[in-house]
Amino acid sequence: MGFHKNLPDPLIEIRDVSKAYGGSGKEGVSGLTLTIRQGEFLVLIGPSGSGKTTTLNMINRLVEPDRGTIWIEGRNVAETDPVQLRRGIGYVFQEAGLFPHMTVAENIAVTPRLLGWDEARIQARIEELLTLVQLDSGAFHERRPQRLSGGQRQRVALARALAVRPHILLLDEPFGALDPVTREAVAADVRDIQQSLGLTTMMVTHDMTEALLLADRIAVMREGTLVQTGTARELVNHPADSFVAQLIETPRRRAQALAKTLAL
Amino acid sequence: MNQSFQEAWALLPDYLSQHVILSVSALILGVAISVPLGIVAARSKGIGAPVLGLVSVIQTIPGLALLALFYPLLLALSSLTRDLFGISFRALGFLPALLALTLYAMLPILRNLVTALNGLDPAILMAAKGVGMTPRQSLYKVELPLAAPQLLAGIRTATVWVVGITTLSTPIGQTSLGNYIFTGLQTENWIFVLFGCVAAAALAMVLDFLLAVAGAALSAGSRPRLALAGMGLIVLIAAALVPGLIHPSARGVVIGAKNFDEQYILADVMADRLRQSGFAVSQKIDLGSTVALRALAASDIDAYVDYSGTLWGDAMHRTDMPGRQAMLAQLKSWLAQRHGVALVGSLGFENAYVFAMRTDRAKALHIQSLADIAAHPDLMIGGDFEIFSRPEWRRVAVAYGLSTMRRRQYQPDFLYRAVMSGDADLVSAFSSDGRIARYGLTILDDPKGALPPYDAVLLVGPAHAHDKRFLESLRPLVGAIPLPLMQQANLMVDRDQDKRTPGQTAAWLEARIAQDHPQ
Repeated sequence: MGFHKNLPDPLIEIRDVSKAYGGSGKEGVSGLTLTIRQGEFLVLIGPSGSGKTTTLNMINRLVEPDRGTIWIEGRNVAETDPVQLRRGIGYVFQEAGLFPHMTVAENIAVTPRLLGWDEARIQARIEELLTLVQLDSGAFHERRPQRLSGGQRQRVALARALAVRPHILLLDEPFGALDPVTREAVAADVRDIQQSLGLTTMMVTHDMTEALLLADRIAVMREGTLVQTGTARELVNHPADSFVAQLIETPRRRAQALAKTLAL
Repeated sequence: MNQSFQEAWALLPDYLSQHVILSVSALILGVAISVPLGIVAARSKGIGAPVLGLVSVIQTIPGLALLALFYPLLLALSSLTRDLFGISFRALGFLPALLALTLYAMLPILRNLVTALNGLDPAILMAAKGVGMTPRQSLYKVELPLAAPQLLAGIRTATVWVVGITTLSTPIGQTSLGNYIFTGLQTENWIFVLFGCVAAAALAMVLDFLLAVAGAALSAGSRPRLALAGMGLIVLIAAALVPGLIHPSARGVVIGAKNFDEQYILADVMADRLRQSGFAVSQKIDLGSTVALRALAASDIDAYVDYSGTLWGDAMHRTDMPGRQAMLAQLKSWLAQRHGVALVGSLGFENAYVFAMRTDRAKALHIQSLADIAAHPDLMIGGDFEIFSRPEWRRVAVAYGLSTMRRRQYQPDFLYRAVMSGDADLVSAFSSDGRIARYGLTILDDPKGALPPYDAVLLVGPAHAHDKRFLESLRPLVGAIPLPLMQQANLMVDRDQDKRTPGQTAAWLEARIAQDHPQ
């Protein structure tokens, strides 16, 4: 992976990309252009079917675009080997996507093993990652995913995604299945890790509260097109249209309702 | 009873060993074919649907029929390869049984694997791709391990099926635990039948248990338990191979026998005589009626006893009736020219198709011959599995106007029960059967001569057709066994009390022959 040095800015550049799915309920994308800067935490938000996950999946070529190009660190991803590309990008799937027949340690070690790391290095890295995601190695090392809580699963998934020290982290609704308390704790840890490692991060969610808390910048999608990008403050102060305004209003309305209830 | 049990017990190492070797080979082959096929079938609907359909259809073919079909198929293939490449192979016994059983093993393995692979969580497959696995790595590291429990369940089902169906390989010349069942059924030795069933069931249960332990160990990730189950399987298979090693497959000469008592007795008599002349002898018993001659011609067996009328109709496809001596002469030259088989001579008795009735019933209806039957259109005739499709029956039916008569088919041994109990009014029977006299049945005359003669004739295969020592050791049997003697011998095996085994009866018969024909 030669794209680790002399990192240009922007790191990921999506140029006029389209993807259509014939007829089915899958989310297509049309003419999307978006850039993510190095070390930036970008949240892609929109209602279901708006093309968020499709956009995310085109970055590591889990989905191939019909039109347009995606550049990562100055290289056209269409010209890279997709398998090598994916090994170099961390990905946390919806509901974790852990392999149920493997232990926590084996799940974390998947990509290092694919890359042929030696065993001692793999073991050291597993310990390092379990510490990073705050899971006790003694208790979790040999556990299977079905014996983990939702939050623990997401922590393991994060450790797996970070195993080979990628510069890019993709997260697809990583906290969707978690209860609110756990969600907040995991989200805060993800943000800490992202910042301390300087990871260029793109996360998909439909929860504006989450987006406002985590994002450096928010990209709002609707029906396959990008409606607006900007910081939380920009979106709040200058929503591009009523759709964005409504979306951004939701957390505020909730907060007000809550304050009212508590005041009673 | 106790003696039957001891005899059965003594045969167990050989039968069990051959049964295990055949079943396990078929299962290994079935897994080896089904797993790659299942992977391909799961990835491509265009291949999956027809493959699964075909394997399901094969499953609907009755086991015995599938096994039987492979014999002529391999025979044709063998003669083809002999013509093309000069290589021929044995079409009888292990090979056809192995192929048929492999086909049987495939369905549960294939179906479970395809179902498991198609049922995998798409999110997991996406994750495998997402962490950077190639399609092959995804298959080996994720898809197959996750499909493994269902695959193993399929293998367990296949194991139980195959171990059971392996018993049906006996009639195509492969020794198995089925030998107990087929022989027991013929000689009404229920200890044998039961012994065979219990042994096969026990084997199936043990194999299934070991696979279950292996499966549980696999899903729990327990290496020691997996090793234990693997050891168990290896020990079982190794133990099965031991009898084959102790008695190295010095095949020697092979005496064949069809699947009834008289044939077992005569095969034992022939085997004893050849042993006395210094030959190493083995036997292949329970051959299908028409399989036997083909097996002889192909040198799968070296000698057996057949019947002139059977050969005339089934092998030569002749329907004319030139008379006893002319028939024998024509048979002899045809066998020599066509198959290189030597017809050594007639043993001295006939085992003819006859029709028999309870004497009291025959008297009551005033029936003495087949010609009297037509006057009673409501009579029920019982026959064995082949009689109604044989030319003999067609001739009898035409000659005596019996074509529309009501019929029922029975396993040969139950024919006598059927006529005695009144289930059937008359039954086909064999003239050398000791039970005709024992049950006091009346044999109906054949005034129009519709039934051909069935002289028991001694046949020797191409390998020994000109082997003087071989022929001389069997020749004293020619003309030495008159009908009453054979009937008596058959009855010793068939009767319910003071029952003898074919081996014991053969010794008795040899003593009687020696007494009657001092050399």
